[in-house]
Amino acid sequence: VTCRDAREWLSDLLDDALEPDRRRDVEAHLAGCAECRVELDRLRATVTALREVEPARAPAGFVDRVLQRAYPVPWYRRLGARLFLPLSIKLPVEAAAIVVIAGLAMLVWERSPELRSAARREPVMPAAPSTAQTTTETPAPPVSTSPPGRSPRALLKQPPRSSPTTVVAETPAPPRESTGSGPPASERKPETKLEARAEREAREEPALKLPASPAPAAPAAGQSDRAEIRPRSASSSVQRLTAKAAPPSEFAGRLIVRDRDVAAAAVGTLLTTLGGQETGRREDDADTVLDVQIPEARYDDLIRGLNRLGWLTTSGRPNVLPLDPPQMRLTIRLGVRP
Amino acid sequence: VQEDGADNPAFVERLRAGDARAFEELVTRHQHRVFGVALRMLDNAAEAEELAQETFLRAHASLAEFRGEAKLSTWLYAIVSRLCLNRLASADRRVARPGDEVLLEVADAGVGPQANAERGELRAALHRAIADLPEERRVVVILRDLEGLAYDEIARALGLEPGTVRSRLHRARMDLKDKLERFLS
Repeated sequence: VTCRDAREWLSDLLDDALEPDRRRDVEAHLAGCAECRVELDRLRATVTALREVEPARAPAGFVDRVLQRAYPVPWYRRLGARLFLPLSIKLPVEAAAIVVIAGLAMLVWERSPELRSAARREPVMPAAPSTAQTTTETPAPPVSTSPPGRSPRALLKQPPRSSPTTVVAETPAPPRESTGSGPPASERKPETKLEARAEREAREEPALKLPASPAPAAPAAGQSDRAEIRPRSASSSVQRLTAKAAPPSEFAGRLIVRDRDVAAAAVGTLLTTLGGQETGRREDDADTVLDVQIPEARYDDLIRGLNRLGWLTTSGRPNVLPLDPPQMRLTIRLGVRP
Repeated sequence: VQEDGADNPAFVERLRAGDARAFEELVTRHQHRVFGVALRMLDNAAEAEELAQETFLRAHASLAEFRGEAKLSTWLYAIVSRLCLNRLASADRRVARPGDEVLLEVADAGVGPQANAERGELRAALHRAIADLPEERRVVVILRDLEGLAYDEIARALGLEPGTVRSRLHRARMDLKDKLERFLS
């Protein structure tokens, strides 16, 4: 075996791939040839270096990319996955977004009187013919906005009436800032976004007026001989709603009589005649205070009848309750001339 | 799939039946080897990934025809080797971007800076020497010394006679030995 022959088989010798006879020949040559042994050592070092090369690693995501190409997903599934998956993440995020948007919308609504005014103007009914008596009607305070789904039109709905004075709910509520120079009733803050507040206002308004101050338009008369006729707040739910829509007007009246008991009985008779009724009676100092209710259509007859019983002075006109038929509730204060 | 032994017959049957999970397992298990062959052959990471993906797609398309006469790994080596040789022989072979593979090399931990530098230098020289080998020798030395295939497996993968494999391997190793002379003395 020559050196050239031996070196041809060195690679196989390292891999232990030589036949036994050839292997013996090569090993015998190497035993006597230093140069070939050096050559074998260098070749062994080369192979060792090759086998120590660190294996390469496929880039991240390689498997996914192969699978995407092997199993292509239809476009509608990819779109669906982008829009809705993973549900565990997207659903809570979308729900939170809805809540946040709704909250912001409510906040803007609450903080923007213009928005509420615009929403209230939208359902305005056809305007009723205006008469001189409409001056006694007060602008309706804003109807409750809670819950927001309730239609303002439903709250303001009035039964059909023949009276030209029924303009209560048809008058759009002015913005809060515009009530500064209005009549006393208009100066009330239209703070009625909560029903409870509106109801409380409707109840407290007469109570504040009754003992504290005489009727503003009363003629010269003593404290004891005044008779006031004022609208009262209703007690039923329907009436409460109406009270919010139609607050007490500036109506006032006094009936001065010779005998309060006789006059009270006469008023009772008059109410029966007109289809009305007495709903309450109390004594206030030297006055007899009657709470009455009559159909709106008989209001003028009531005024004429009261005029026959004594010296009646009135100002304004009470609001109408949306009952069937429309009713008026008044407080009649009977006094005796001193 | 068993790494070095025979393939699990049940697994092969799942592959042949088109089981997507089985195919995913096949890709996961062999991705680095297939990619490694492509990277050493093409000396370009992006091109190597492209051919490695193509290798698995070819395998996926012909899994139903796989008879189990060779190991799955040998079958994949055969596909990627032939794809690489065809690519290298094609006229539109893109210009390799030297340096890609060097970036993939990771310095050994636990050795000193000087030894690390020397090993890095040897690696770089070895990388260049492998890249300079003729393709038919390069693929043989990669399959034998880097991937550890037996002679007959290489012969089967490349469609060569075992004697041809021995000859090409010997020539490749001698070329590398000569180019790494200064590191081996």
